[in-house]
Amino acid sequence: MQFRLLQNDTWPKALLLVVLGFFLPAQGFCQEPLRTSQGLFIPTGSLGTLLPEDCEVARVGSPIPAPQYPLLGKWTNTDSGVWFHPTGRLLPEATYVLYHAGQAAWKFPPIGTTARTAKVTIYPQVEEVPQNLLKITLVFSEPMREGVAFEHLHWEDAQGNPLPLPFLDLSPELWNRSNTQLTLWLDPGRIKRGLAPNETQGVPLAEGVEYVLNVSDTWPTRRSSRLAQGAYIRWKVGAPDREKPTPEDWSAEVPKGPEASLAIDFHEPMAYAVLQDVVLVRRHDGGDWLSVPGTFHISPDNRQISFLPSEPWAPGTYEVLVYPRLEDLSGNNLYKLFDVDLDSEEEEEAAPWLTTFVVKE
Amino acid sequence: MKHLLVTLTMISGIALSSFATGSATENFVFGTPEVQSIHALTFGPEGVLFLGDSKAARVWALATDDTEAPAEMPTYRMDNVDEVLAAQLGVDANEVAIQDMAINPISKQLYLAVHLGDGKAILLLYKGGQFIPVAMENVRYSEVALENAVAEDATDRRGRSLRVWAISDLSFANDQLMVSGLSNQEFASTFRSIPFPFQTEQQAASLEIFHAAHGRFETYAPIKTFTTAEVNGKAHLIASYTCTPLVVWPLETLEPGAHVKGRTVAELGSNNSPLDMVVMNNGGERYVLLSNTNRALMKVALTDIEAFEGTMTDPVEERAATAGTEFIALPFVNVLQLDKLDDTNFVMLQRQANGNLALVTAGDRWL
Repeated sequence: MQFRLLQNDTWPKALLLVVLGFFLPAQGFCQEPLRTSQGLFIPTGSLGTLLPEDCEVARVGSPIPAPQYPLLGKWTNTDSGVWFHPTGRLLPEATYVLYHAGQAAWKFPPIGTTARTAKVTIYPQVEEVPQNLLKITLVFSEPMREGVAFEHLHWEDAQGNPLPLPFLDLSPELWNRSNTQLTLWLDPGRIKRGLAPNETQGVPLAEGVEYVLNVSDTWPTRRSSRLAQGAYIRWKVGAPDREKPTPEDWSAEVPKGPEASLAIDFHEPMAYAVLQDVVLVRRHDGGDWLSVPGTFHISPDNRQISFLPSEPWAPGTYEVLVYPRLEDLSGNNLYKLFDVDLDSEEEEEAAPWLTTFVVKE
Repeated sequence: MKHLLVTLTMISGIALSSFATGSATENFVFGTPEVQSIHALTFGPEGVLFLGDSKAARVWALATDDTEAPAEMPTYRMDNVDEVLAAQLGVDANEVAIQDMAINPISKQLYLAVHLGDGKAILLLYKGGQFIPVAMENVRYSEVALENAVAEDATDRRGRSLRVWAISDLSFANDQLMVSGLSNQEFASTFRSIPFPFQTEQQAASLEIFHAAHGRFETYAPIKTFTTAEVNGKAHLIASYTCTPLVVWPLETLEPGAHVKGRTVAELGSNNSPLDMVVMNNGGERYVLLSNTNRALMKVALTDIEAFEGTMTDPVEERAATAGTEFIALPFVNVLQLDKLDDTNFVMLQRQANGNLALVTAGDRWL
């Protein structure tokens, strides 16, 4: 096992250490203290007689070094040695020192820096956005650090002059569960006509003007110090959109084969964050409608969504539903406009948009 | 008529009288809650600590068993809190994100919720000039899911909506845990009131609340922070929004399915976002203290809120101007976390002018 791993130099070093950390202490082969991604291991006898209650760990370069504020963590005695599992975490690029009875007893060197592989995509990828654009979505290829978005976003005019960020400063930020997708709101109080921020600060985007959004590669991911590559997008601002989406204009392209995609074209860009959650494909199975498992793909310009089932389309009758809370780029859904005078317009009833098709034997 | 529309969601529990006389933790289970994030903290009865977990779409109720009153009132004072936390957690200071701070109203002990750069959520307790971890394994706890507020939705193939409700604040009063949050998809603010102890059967309903405001158009404005207090003899919700109006509703009107008008009693200025809110009581004079992103700590007398009749309807014309109920700006800026120690003492986590992130205790001289 160990031989094969050492022969394969494509295995990350960190993973190798984890594997070694798992096997070696248990078998008693390791004579030196060892660092894994989970913690620190001190084999029995490697540093003489070790009493966990006399041990402390500190990071080299910490602003306040040990012994004043050692690392918090749990010390565990096992047959083969002593484990230290930190309450926080061990940074791959940092050095940690074990102190025993106040004396430095072992230095755990870095296990290398984590490769930068994360990329980001900005939605909607369109040339022109409405003046009352309500939100944008950033999609990352790996989980990102939360709570620092405003440090790594830059808003500029067409000449590259920095402008204040037009987004609502929310805490917590609006991430998905896996921290790969962030929703950013342009300040709704500035978009809605008549509200105090709108009256005093004006709308976030001016019609006819070009803006550039830069996502800096300095943004740390959850495992590495920054993105592999940032992104930018240039938007020209068009007229405000004060119309609800028009489902009568939507069209569906039914799958042309058992392994082909189904596609819905909205003929206008929709809000990415909502679109991915409002389409349901289901199959009539004798008595019941059963949700069809599969994968959705949203086109870069957010005008289309396609669906590829996990298994080839089985014969039967299918329904495709789009729920009315789907919003356009200005936050108008099928129930109501985002920016509406409550005295003149009430929220309307709206049913899901529906299309059906049949897959024959 | 000018309106601001806010959608609130109330989850009303089915009253079970057996809870009325028993311990608040008697239906807790023993085990390890799968906490994924801690975006908000607040204490309930008997040392129960509520953890608002947006990622798990849950609120966890943790039995801390921290129920002993202190021999004397503590005074919290610590410099370079972020650097101390970084040293104790093995990382750089810029990787330590303090999510919330709560003081146990019984023991007066101070708790911090911290996220690290890799997303790890850690609960800490201040003890003797440093922080110690609070066990979240093999503990007594209870939980409530926050996902059943969606009436009509598409779901993924596991039958679960992809929508996340980011929890912005928690508060406990009158046997109710109140939770404010914002969807990561549509612009929908939610406010839930959940009976505690948590019950297995719950009814979810949508509650829409209109409050007259300063403009003609509706919004589903996100509640940033809130508290409860007695106003004119009745329990009220006092909420502040990202666009900073201060709005009050009688708690008794917040019933499922109701359309309730709140009163906007102050406009606290644009280019600012509220952070935390507590109610103090200095010899019968009660005050709301409100910390902010871009403004000093504000003190609003509850008598002024009570005396403010009706609701604000006129827009604030001047940029960053304030209007409505008057407030005093206390000499504490960049107060990032705020909680009360007792009726006259409060604790702040403050980024001071020299960059020092300090834990500071202040008292009745400011009330």
